[in-house]
Amino acid sequence: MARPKSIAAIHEAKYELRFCNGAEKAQRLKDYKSALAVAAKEFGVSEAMLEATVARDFGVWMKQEKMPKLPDQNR
Amino acid sequence: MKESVREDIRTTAEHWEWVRGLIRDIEREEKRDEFLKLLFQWDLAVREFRKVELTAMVLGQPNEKDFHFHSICLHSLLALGHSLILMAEAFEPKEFAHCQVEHGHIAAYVEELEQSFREWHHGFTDHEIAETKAKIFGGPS
Repeated sequence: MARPKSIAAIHEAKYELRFCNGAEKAQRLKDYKSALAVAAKEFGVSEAMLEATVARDFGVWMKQEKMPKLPDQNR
Repeated sequence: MKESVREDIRTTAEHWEWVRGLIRDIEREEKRDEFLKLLFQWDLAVREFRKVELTAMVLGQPNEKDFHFHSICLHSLLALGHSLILMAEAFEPKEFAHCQVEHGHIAAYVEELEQSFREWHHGFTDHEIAETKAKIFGGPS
């Protein structure tokens, strides 16, 4: 299954959100929401539906991209 | 009353007021420290929760028990988080400046937890999810 770029962008934003420090959290949350809104519009679904649908794909993406579990900037 | 006696009474009243102010400051600092202690403990719990979530839910194959405990932990962390937001309102931003805590940070942490809840404990049916998955990734719905 091909992963659309907008979904990868959501995962990337979520990854940054999860592992950023407290001071960055509000901005990262904003970035995540904006990536989510873009993809929801693209596929014509609600943001809540999109979040629920791609939740499991986040782990797959992390493995495929070989993302570290605890990046250096861990809070 | 002699002038010197009046002066003494005024001075004594000012001293009492100064001591009362000092006590109020100490009490407020105590409350702030208690709040910060709770906040940091909550933050630690959130971090530990995220570690387990990553292993069990995100990178693993979560079973019914995982979903159950994930939901319970999220509920508890959210309840505490919301109460911390309310408690934080009693303090001025400058009172947290020494430990780089801002009111907005707590709200963002709570919102992030809410986001996790929407992801894993939504009310959508399997059919609805499968349909959306097909729309996004292609393949049969």
